[in-house]
Amino acid sequence: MSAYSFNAGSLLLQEARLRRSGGQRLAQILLIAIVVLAVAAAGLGLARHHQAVSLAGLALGLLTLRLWLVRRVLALQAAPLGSTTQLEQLLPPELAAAYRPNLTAPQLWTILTSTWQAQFVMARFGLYPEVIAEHLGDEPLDHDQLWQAATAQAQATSLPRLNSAVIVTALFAVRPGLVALLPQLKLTSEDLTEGAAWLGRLEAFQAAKRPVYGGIARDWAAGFTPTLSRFGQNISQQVELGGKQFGLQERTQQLDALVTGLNSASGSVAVIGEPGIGKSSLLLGLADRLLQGQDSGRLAHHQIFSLNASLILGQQQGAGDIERIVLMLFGEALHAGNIVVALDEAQLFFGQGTGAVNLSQLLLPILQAHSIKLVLNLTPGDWQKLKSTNAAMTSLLTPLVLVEPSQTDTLRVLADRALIMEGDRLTTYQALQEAYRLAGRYFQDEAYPGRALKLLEAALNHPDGQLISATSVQEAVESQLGVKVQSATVDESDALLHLEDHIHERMINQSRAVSVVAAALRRARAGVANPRRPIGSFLFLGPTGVGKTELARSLAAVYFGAERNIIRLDMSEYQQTSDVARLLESAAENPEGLLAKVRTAPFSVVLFDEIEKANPNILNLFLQLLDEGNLTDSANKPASFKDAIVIATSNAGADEIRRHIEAGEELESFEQAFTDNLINSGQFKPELINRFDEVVLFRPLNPAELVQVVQLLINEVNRTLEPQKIQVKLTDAAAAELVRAGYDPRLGARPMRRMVQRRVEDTVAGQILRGQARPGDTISLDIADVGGPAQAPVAASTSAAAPAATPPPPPAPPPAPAGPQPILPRDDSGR
Amino acid sequence: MFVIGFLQWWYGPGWRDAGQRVVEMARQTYLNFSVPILLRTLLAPWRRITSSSDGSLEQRARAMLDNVVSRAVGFGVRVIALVTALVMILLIGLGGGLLVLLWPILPPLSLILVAGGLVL
Repeated sequence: MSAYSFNAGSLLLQEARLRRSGGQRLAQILLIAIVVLAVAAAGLGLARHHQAVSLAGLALGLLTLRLWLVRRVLALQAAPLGSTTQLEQLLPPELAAAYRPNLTAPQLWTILTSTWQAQFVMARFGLYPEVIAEHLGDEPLDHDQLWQAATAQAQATSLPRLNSAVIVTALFAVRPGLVALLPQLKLTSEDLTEGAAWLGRLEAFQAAKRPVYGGIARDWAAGFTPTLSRFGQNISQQVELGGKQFGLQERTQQLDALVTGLNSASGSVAVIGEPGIGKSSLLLGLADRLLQGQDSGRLAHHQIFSLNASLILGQQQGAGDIERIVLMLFGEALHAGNIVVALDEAQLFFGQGTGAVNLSQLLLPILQAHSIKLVLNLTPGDWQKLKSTNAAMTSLLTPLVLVEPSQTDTLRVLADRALIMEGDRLTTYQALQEAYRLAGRYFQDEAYPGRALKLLEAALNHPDGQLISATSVQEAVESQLGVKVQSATVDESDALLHLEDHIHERMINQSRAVSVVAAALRRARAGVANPRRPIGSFLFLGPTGVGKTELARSLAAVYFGAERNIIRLDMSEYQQTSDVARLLESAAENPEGLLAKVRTAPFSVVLFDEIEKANPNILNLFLQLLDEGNLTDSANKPASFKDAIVIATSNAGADEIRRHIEAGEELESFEQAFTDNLINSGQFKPELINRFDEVVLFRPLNPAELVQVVQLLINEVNRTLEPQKIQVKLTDAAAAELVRAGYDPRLGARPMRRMVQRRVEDTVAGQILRGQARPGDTISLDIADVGGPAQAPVAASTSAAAPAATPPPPPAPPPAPAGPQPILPRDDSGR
Repeated sequence: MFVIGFLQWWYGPGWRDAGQRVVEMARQTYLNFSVPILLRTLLAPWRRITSSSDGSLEQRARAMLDNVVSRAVGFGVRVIALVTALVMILLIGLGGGLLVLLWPILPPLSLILVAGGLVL
């Protein structure tokens, strides 16, 4: 038996249908008719015409009809939940007017989509009506189940009545096709319920009457405040002009505590909370409550002035100016009798921070007198500092600590504020969720909801068509921080899949090292990696000059876009215990410090060179870094390494690796034993080794591989010469000669760069200066040119089709002149 | 059908609604004119403009006179506001009361007037 009944012939339903079929227009027509009839009646009345009475009667009759239409028909609303089981009363009138108990799901959906409430939910969740219609299914609609689900949804969101948005969310709960669609849309049924609650809050706000803030005579018994108006901001006036803002956090408990504190004997409150937590919003809420005069005690109709420290400071021309102004301000507040003075960023008034002024000696007697109501907004750190420097003052303040709102509450604040910020665009619920998620990950300097609101505001500059979507938020983060948070594009996916090839364009061999690092990056970009740890963390072990640092550089270039996206620390500079503090310096203490750099560029390779030389206490910090993905600086603010690749390099055990390789062993066959040896010998603690994603061994390079390294270095030289359109080419013999001359098994590839510098770059420089190499030429260097048996270098045209036109090779270059030579102007006229 | 709906509403919720609206208008007027505040501060100095003196008798007398003037100005302005509020509330009460009283006869009156005009 159905829990609900439906009376299709009820009077209410007829009225709902009248409303749906143009009630608003009818009301307008009636109004015009009434005015016309009334004027006509008046005119005829003046002419003493008896028809005036009829017309007046007709106008009166239409007036009564219009009153009924406006006050009854157009004001129809659903009955409160639980008050009846009659569906025609429980349903919103626009839906009830078209409702029939035998409606199929698609028919009901068609009716729902015509209501603005359902359109609100669809737009906010990016739901397309056609897509939903396709997933509604053919099975009969169980109306009873639907209304029960809708009632449950409404009760869950504290809605007093059913609205179309709640019915949409109920459909998503009862239709299997829609239940299956939700995960594809990256949504849950709870998200939809929140969407209905969002609409409910908006409707309640729209329906609320504008409060009376005391009336015309409110301030007649209070003094004038010209100085306060000059050096402060009248928050109450702001609230009075704009009304209570939609989307301000409902902080009833904190407001109660604040009012109680201000009404107490001390009369002054320190509101303590991290930046972004809503201290300033709390002041707006306080202003609204005091203006309304309800639950305010003796503070009813008081006004809040927030003093501006920089304006006050700007008035200083001589000694005592600031003190004089401040005394005048407080004197005025005292005399006015209806003022609460707020010091937003109160630390500026106690000599802390940039542009600060120390007024503690001035404020202390004012607080002791309990004659002025003061609200001080402070961060926990500033409160602690104030406590340590001025205990007498803090003992006179009632502390009120604000805590960060929950995720649900933060999302509600974001949702409501989005309606004010978005302008002519629409913010989707997914954008709010993304703003919450990414703000938590990347903007750790502030608390919720402020940090998420800031990100959402930034996302307004990255519209996705007419929407502010999750993509808009991701783009905002990417443009602000240079991190990659969007899904990989087709090109990027291809690059990731072939990452090894790209790295090998810069690296010779070390295939195993390259493949483990590439795999870690693929895991991170595919969203498989643990998001609470760095993208990847590697310990690179091996001799000098085998490519450890080069691989880190290659990663920065290939994955993070440029070699400059590397933060490199030489750990041999951090050997003392005191260096721990240096490593953890805040951005204010050292803008070039590790944590400041990571905050500025979180999407980087962080390279700790020669980690074995670092102080053991620093190695202990690595445990936290690798485990939790962050370090906390000296100002107690965390810096996230979650978007960084952390690489530590070490030469520890280099000789052992060389011995194994020279004995013909493969890396894989001895790497485990090697790592165990490092632990057993006490060079690394097992807990540190185990926290790296991979311990990667680098093998020494053999002469054949060094020839390839030389070729890479020549490629670098060619990139440098590219603007001059000159290229350098080495013969195989020349490359082998460079390797022979520079080979040192202990130093690997490191001497090769020096060799190329001395024997290639110097030669090329000489040719360019002598005019033997011109734009378009390729300088071919043979063994003699790089220090081997004598043979002339060849400057040839790059045109393969015209080798005959190439001038005969000049004789071998003379030795480089000892002194500076004039640089001859290049003669291009003959070309 | 609508006639029944109209009559049901007119002689039930509609009548009550009309009465409530009159009361609400009067209440809003009462609050917008700050009547409770005016009554509480009737004799308070105007905008707290006061003076005090510990000087000679003449100076004290002058300060007292200043204060009396300030209170007198405050009293005068407040009384004017109170009287205005009272008149407005009275007008709303009278007009609204008349409307509520006549409410039941408005529909038949309109019919009578139409018919009467045709007969005359």
